[in-house]
Amino acid sequence: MSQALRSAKERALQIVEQASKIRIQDARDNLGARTSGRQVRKANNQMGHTQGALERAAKPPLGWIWGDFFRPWQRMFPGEKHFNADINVRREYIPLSLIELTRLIDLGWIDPSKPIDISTLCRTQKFQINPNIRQYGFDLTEEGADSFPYAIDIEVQYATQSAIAAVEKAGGRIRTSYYDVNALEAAIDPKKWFEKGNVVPQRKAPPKTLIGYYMDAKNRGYLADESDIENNRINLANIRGYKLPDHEMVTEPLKTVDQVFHGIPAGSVISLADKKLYSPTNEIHREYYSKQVADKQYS
Amino acid sequence: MFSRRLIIRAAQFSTSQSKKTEKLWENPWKHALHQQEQPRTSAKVLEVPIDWSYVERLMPIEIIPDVPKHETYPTPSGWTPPTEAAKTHSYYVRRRRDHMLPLYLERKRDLLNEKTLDFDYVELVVLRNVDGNIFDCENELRQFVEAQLDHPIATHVDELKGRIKIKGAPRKIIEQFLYSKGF
Amino acid sequence: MFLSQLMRQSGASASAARNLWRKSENPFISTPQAWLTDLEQVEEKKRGIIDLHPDVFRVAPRLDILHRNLTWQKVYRNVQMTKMLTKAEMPGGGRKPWPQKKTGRAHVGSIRQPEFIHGGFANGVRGPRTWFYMLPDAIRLQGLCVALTLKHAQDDLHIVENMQDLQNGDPKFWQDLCESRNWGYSVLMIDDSDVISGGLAEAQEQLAWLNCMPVYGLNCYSIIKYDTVVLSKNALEKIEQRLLQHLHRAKPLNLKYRYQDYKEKILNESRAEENPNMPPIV
Repeated sequence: MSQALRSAKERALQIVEQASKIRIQDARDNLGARTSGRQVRKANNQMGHTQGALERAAKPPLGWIWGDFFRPWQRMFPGEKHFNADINVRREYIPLSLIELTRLIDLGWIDPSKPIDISTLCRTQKFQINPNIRQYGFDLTEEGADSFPYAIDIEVQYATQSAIAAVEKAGGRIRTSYYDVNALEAAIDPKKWFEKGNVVPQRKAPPKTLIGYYMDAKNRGYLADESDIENNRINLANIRGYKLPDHEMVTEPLKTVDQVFHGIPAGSVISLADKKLYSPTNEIHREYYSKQVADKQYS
Repeated sequence: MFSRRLIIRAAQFSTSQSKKTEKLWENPWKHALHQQEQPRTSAKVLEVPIDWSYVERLMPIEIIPDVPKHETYPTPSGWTPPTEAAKTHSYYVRRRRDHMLPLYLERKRDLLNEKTLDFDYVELVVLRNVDGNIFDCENELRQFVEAQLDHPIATHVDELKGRIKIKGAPRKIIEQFLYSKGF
Repeated sequence: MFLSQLMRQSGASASAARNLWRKSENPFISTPQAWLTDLEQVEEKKRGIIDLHPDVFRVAPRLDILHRNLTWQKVYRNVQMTKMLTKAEMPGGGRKPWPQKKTGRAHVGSIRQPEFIHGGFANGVRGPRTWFYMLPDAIRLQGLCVALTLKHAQDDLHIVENMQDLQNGDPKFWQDLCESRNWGYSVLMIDDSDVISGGLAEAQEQLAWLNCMPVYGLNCYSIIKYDTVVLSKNALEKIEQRLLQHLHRAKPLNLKYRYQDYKEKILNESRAEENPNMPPIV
């Protein structure tokens, strides 16, 4: 007890113990926490001329920062023809550095023995992905690549060469894969998806601009040939000068190209209350969800 | 499927046509209460056995998990658990709820820089959750940091809230101080 | 520690040991304790001692946080329904009452102008207006902990074994009970279930100063308003579990509460309620 009494908190509580009953009117904000509005003198009061004065005043052209009004700098020094022209179509990937990933594994948020994908990362509640504002997943960056120790099986949407090298040096497996908006919505919050009673979707094929990226074995794209990827893996190890582990550390099978969740077939509905999985019997549905040829998609 | 939906829509259309003479307020209950049971698709489903652990691993983590045992500390990401040495001081810094050190960065506006006509900003580090004699903590922290940096630092102590604000020192050095004390 | 010595002297039976979830190893925190009593007889009989979680019942007495919670509880539900009509909303007034010039009177265009008696209001109160806002979760959680801590520190928090199905429902008995135990002018009983039966239910119907509340109704205002707060053992477990669960939740504590996210839920809240007297709003 004597040790506890040295704490300011305990001393404050002692004062409370000796005080009379604390009532509603005794609760106060701290001194100076809130300031009342300052009285403005008549001469300094600027209220009243806002709209007209602003509207009629001479204003610089849009984008003007400094210098000549009629020759703003972006016209004097044209670098890009359309600055941020693709802002409403460009895809955004949430950066995830290897050091962050290591910390998440260290603190028990992620189990390194199980495959890691968007769902695994999002269930830690540490990342927010909003497909509605064109966020398309995770970008694995190389910060912390020097000492990445875990042999993990990870699937991200974008990865730098250094990050790929770091994961493979540790004996892990990395794939980059594309999630279309619908599949992404299911993957970032599977609980919500299942509770709504939605059907487990198929992953659609990437758009034309991304097909090249995901078919490239250099990027460990999920559409590339496994033999190509194996060659590239050895190649990268030779270039970067590290030794690959002798035996395969990751032996779990990969997801198929249209699979969103591990172990859950597309086209099925999951009942969380009954812990059951239902799949359709209709022949058309079955065929649609089992053909594994991803639909054409434009985005 | 498609044709069925068409039929349903047609049926709704026809009922609304016939209702058109009836005003909304003549029988508000009719519109407010649950609508007539929509004809439901009776798609047949088949129960498929499933390894439920695949679903369980998708469910969101509700409560911050306990840290698993590691063979050596610090862990690969540089994390260390609080040690027994932490309890020997006249103060104690409690970890955050996610097992990290309670260090926060704060950015505060300084004076106007007359050359660039921009406001300067100072970066403060806030150490929170300090129990016990917070002034001892501040003293030792100041000695440790000043020995490392070779210049004086400014601190501000809030005793009741258990916070120390530090100006002029990077977070990394304060982190080192806390680890050296075992917190 | 002091309490446990006392307990040994009085020969109380129950042990203080309780598994406190995620208790900090901070040596500067002493585990708060409380007597376990019952409501069977007028005199207070000590049945044992209970350990309370220091994160809930021994936090810094931040009166400013408490103040924020109390203010919020008073303010957020205020709705101003007054609406003073403007010139345009008043009936009539479309005609120019007299010619613009040469009458010697003011130049007016309508008898509902604000300068007229029975005219419209120029800068009136324009309801409906709400003062609704949400405090951050962290502040609300801390406010509850502070309120419970204050009650415990001032010896106004009591733990009883059981509140359900008590024998005696006589108001005199309850008055004597609270008086002999020095429980002050008003008492709030908190149980984990929202249905209460037996003596307490009968008594609290007749006594205005005695009230019952389920755990989910726990709030800063009520805790501070009543002189004494009495928790049942189950309620204590539940309160600790709920508060700690939120203090250690994986989601951030600064969640945004936006109307658009809750709109559907709020608007559908009364769908199941059918009042036979009031026509539903379509």
